[in-house]
Amino acid sequence: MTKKLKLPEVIIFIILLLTAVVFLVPFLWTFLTSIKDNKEIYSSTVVIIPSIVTLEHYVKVITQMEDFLKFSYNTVVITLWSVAATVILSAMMGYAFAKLKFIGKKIYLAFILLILTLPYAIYLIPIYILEDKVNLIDTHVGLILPYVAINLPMSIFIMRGTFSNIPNGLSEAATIDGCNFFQVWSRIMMPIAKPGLATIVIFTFINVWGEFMFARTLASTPAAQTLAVGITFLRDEAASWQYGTLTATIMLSLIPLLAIFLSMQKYFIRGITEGALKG
Amino acid sequence: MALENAATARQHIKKNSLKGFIKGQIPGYFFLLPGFIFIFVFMIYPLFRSLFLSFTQYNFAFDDKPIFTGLKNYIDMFSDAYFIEAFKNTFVFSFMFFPGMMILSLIVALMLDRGVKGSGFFRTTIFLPVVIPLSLTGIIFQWILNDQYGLLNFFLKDVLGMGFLAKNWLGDDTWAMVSIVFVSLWKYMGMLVILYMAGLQAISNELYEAAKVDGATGLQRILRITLPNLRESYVVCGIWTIIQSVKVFEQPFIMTQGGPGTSTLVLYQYTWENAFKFLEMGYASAIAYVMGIIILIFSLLNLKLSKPE
Repeated sequence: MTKKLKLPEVIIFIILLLTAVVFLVPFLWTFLTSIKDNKEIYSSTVVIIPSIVTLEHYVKVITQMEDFLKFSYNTVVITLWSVAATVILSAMMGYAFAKLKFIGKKIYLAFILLILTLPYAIYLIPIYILEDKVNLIDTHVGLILPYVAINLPMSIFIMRGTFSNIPNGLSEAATIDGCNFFQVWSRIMMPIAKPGLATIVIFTFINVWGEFMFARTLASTPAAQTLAVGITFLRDEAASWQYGTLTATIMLSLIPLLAIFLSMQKYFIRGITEGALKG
Repeated sequence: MALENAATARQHIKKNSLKGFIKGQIPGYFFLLPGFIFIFVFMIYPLFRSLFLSFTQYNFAFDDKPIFTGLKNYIDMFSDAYFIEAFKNTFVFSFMFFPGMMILSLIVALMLDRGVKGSGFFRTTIFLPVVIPLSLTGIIFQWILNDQYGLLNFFLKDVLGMGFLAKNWLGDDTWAMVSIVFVSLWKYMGMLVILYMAGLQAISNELYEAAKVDGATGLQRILRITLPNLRESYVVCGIWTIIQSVKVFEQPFIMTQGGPGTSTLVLYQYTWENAFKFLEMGYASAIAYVMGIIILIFSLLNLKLSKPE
């Protein structure tokens, strides 16, 4: 019996290992390119492992490319504000949908579900016209506001699920103890809803950090451009002879993302399986 | 006794009076309103605004305001060679991407579900690209698929010794789209693997036990129990994949800019260029709505299929 089982297990292991290699190679290759010197990057026979490890590309990116620092600063500011606002607002709205009574609840919910998957272009065109009128193009706020809006529907959905699982008895007890409706939410419900909140944090962080279309459209100068967009301009400026600096820039842009993903993977996967159909 | 009566009476009034009713609504709207303002300004208003714009001629550089033209934009599309090309290319992308995603992810999920050594690591690795921004993915693969210095051509030529397979992947009209499909599979497969795995875990163990008692082999168990019981996952995964295909944008926009020629020009890029390069906001809105309607049909189908009652 054990012998029978073993062979397929080994084959499966080998296939999975090869698959994992295919998925990892692009990262490894980017990393290896970033620590090679230009001669080896552009040698006539491809050099896999660099003979001399160099950090010159990283030094160059950090000390000489002013735009890189600007892009990083923009990305951090925009991401943090978007995450903070999305977490608070979705926790409020999710709570309302899960626990409170108000007119039109079902219609709002159905509507939110409906607009969740539509292409961003439908929203982006009027948003661009609107932001052009009120001079929000090329500003941090001009990106933060729509980012909060587009991340809300999915987040509301997840928070609604989280709050629905909390028994009503708790809030009833708190009300009897003299908590008003706001205190019930902030003191009783929010601490219990932490796993849901963590899901929203990681979801929004990853969505905003790497978002391309809004950032490409609503920011046309380095004043508010994020890394995901700025890097494509660096590529165009760099032309083909500077893949060293480009891969170093990519590695630096990925560090925060990988850190948050690897430390909070559990919540991210939970969010995906709960809100299966997202935009 | 009298006091108690008065209390119930008060409660009774509170429940039924208009004032009490309104008061009961306050907490709900208090929590709803701040977020709703965001959704209203940046989603609901734009949704209707672009619907209106889609019936107008509105060049953002030349026209002071939108000029109503009725269905003209929607009719013009059918004689616009670029639109037809973009529609066709989006379809070609979906046609390759859909089966690739559905089948490969299912196979990987089935293997991961066996729980062999290292499954956790493999799952994380396959999922990792999902969190990598599309623009970075595009640049990374531009480098790997590079004609002269790229890793893929090196691998084909010098490792496998099959130089005839080496190509200018992104510079060739047929292979550019195939490359984009490949990159998209790398980027999104982890998503479906996770969804399939959730579906696999939902199948009750009793079914497998019963099959074991009946003497079913491993393969029979997969064919007779696992695959038929994943129906809900097929719907969720399939519709998610179709929606992503209709919305494909960044991969071609970054790696090929729609080229060579128009061989990888997709609907989304054509919309974007109409809106933000040619500033034809009316026509762009109309194309965006065509995509929106296609997606809406699949979203509604999803709601119907996943909740049959």
